[in-house]
Amino acid sequence: MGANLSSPARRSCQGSCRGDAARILGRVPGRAWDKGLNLSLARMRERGWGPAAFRAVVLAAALAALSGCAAPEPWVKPYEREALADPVMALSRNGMMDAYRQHVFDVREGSRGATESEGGGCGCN
Amino acid sequence: MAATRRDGAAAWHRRGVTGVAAAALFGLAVVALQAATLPEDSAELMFHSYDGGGVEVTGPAMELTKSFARDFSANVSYYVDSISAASIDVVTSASPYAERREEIGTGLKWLKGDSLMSVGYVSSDENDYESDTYTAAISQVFFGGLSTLSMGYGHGDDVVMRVDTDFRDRVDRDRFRLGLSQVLTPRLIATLDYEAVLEAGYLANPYRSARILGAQVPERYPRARNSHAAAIRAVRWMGEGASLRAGYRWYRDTWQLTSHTLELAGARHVSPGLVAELSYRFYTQDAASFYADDFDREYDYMARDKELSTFDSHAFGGRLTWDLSGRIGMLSRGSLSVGYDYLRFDYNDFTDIRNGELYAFDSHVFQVWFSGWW
Repeated sequence: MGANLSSPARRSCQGSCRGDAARILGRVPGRAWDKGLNLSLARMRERGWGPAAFRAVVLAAALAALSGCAAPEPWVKPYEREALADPVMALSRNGMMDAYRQHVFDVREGSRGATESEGGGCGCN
Repeated sequence: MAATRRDGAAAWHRRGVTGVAAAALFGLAVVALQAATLPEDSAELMFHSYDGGGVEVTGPAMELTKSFARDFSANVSYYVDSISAASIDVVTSASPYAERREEIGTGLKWLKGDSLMSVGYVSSDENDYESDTYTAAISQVFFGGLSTLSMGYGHGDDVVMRVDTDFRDRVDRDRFRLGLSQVLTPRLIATLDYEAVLEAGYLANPYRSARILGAQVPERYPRARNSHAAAIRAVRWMGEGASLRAGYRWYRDTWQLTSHTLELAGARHVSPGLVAELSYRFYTQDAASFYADDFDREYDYMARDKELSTFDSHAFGGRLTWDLSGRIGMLSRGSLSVGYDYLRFDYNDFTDIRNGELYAFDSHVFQVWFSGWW
């Protein structure tokens, strides 16, 4: 059973999790340990898992989580944007003409909003 | 001006449809992948013409854009609609009329790093409808220039009037828009847009009538309307100077009006300095909950606005754009564009009371545009 996320100890972690991480790593047996987490640790100890093994598991999990959260690199490099920079790749090539054309539709239809707007282009800037 | 007219210019500027400059300001400001650049200094001129369903609208439009202090750009715009109307609503219940609508807009953009902030103001004036629109927006480019997140807010204060009485009422409007533009591959860009519009006030047309068992009675609309619209669009490079665009928009509001819009367009360099574009747009909507061609009894809310009925429309368009390289007087270069659109509207539950048949009409939209840069 994992830590109860709604416990006061967990909520108080929202500002800084350093203390909470220390507790999870077993350095601080502190009063904020909730019952569920204590039970889990007790079961692990019964199975021969010492504090070092527990720390290793938590560290591995943290590293895995961090690697999963790493920001992806931009996958279209600047030298690959030649086609994107072509004027025909703009969603609207002429703002004034497109705005008037859209106005004609808006007046004749019951809908409004999220209409075609300026955009497209190379993302080169 | 016919004092007994119906479906007046309020129909051309109806139900809080923002004017051309306001729409341009809001749209341009909100989603622009090239958000981290200021617009070039330019002067634009356009002549536009609409002819369809007994309504003719013509007029000029112009816009000046000038940058200053390195990080700022200001623009002013002027737009005119000269309207001559003998629409189905007019010919079946009143006299044809002619009038003029003028729209003046101004905007300011500030470039700060990868952020582009903008504010704008547009005023529209005609003899029975006044509108003031204020907009603010911000766009942020990130992820190596591949992503642009944009958000915008617009507020409108409208005054609705009748030319033949002292009727006068207000409409307050708030628009919230969120957009994401993403380069997906070296050949593909996609955008997601969401917009909510909240309106309160007099949302009907003071000239138009509903029908109860054939008898005309004043329309009655709710005094609030909230809508949601979401759209996904993409443009893909097809090789050899050509691109293909596709888009879908979903719309729903608290009047139970639902619509779907499909857009397809292709553009291609047909010769050096000349780009040709072809487009098709399909639109379909279900009627508002309080719309009826002819009510069987009196209800709290009653409308016979064909724009709130069930109908489909098709639009086929073409446009040619020439890049005029080389100096033109004081201009360093110029561009000329000519566009034409054919529109077809088919109504499923709105009848022409002159012959009892379902109403349909064709429209023709013509535009000529010139821009010069210096």
